[in-house]
Amino acid sequence: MSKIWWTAAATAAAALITAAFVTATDSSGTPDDGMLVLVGQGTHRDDPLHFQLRGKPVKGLYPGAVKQMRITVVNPLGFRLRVQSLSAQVSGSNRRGCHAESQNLQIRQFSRPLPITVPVGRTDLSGFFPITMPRGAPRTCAGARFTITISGVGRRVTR
Amino acid sequence: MRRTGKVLLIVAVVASLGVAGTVLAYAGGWVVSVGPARLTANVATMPQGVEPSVARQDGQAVVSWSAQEIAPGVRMDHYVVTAHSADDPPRPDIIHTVGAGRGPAETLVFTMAEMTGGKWRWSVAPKYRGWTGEMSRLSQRLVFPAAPAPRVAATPGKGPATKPAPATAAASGAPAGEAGAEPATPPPTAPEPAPATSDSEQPESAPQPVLSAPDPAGSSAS
Repeated sequence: MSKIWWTAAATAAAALITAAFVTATDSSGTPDDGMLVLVGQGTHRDDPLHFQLRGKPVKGLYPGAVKQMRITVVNPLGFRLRVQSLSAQVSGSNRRGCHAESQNLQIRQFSRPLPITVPVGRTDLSGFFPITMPRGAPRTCAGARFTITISGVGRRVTR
Repeated sequence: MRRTGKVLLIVAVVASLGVAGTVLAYAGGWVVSVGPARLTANVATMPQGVEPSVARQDGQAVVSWSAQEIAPGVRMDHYVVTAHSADDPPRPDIIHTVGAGRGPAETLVFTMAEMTGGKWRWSVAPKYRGWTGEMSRLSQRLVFPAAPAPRVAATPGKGPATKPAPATAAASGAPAGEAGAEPATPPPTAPEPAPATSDSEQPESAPQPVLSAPDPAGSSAS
């Protein structure tokens, strides 16, 4: 009787472990190289994992000013990430006469080439998003506060 | 033995489930949701102008005020200086837009011809690339006595005591001509063909200085 129990238990455990490894290596959402696709913004339900993007607010913009918006990646996932893309866009403004559009505020591409590998935990990226206020920005933008939404996509680093 | 086997079985199943769950989570079975990453970018506000200090010198009004910044280290590029008449009825405002200097203070001279016979107060508003700040509080009032004779219609021997000087802007420590992107008119000490020495020696044919603002595009009298 005990042999039967032992055999059943061992079989069940082996089956579970095998299934888990198959899942990990075959159906993790990355058919090519076994990496995971990770979305920083967290808007897609189907994406399996998320990391966080943080940054410090930019202050003191004025016509002709170029400021640097630095980004910090918070990786809570327990493995290294390779950040494949980062994007930022002006998504709002608190002033009626100063809309969130390129005539009033412009964001250029991330200054550093991607991908960037980040370890577990918090990493201050060496690059930045250049934030530019055009010289012709209207007077109504004085004192305005723009909202900038940033997002990124990364993959798990397996080796 | 039988009891021990059951216990071991339970332990094995639990351990297997734990390992399997961990591996599944590691492979993407968990969704760690985070809120959208939103940051802010704040635009500087245009400051209100600094109340100017004024002084009367040789019939002219010397208006001075502290230089201002729109952001740390970024100076205003122009200032709008307005002379407000305190007469009754009031005269039209005299407005000069002057380029900023490099020093910590700015100065603008309103000529005797502009000021004569009136009571005036001044205000300053900073400008940066088309953005204009709020006008400052009005300065103290200065009173200028009327000129003894009309400037243009002066007959030989009855001209103004001192030639009216054009409005000049100068940063302290910098020459007037280097005051800013749109340099000020040279100060009254500039060479003149026939400098007057007194009322009685001012000839009618002597060239009269043209009242000009340092920034022609921005200067007007309303």
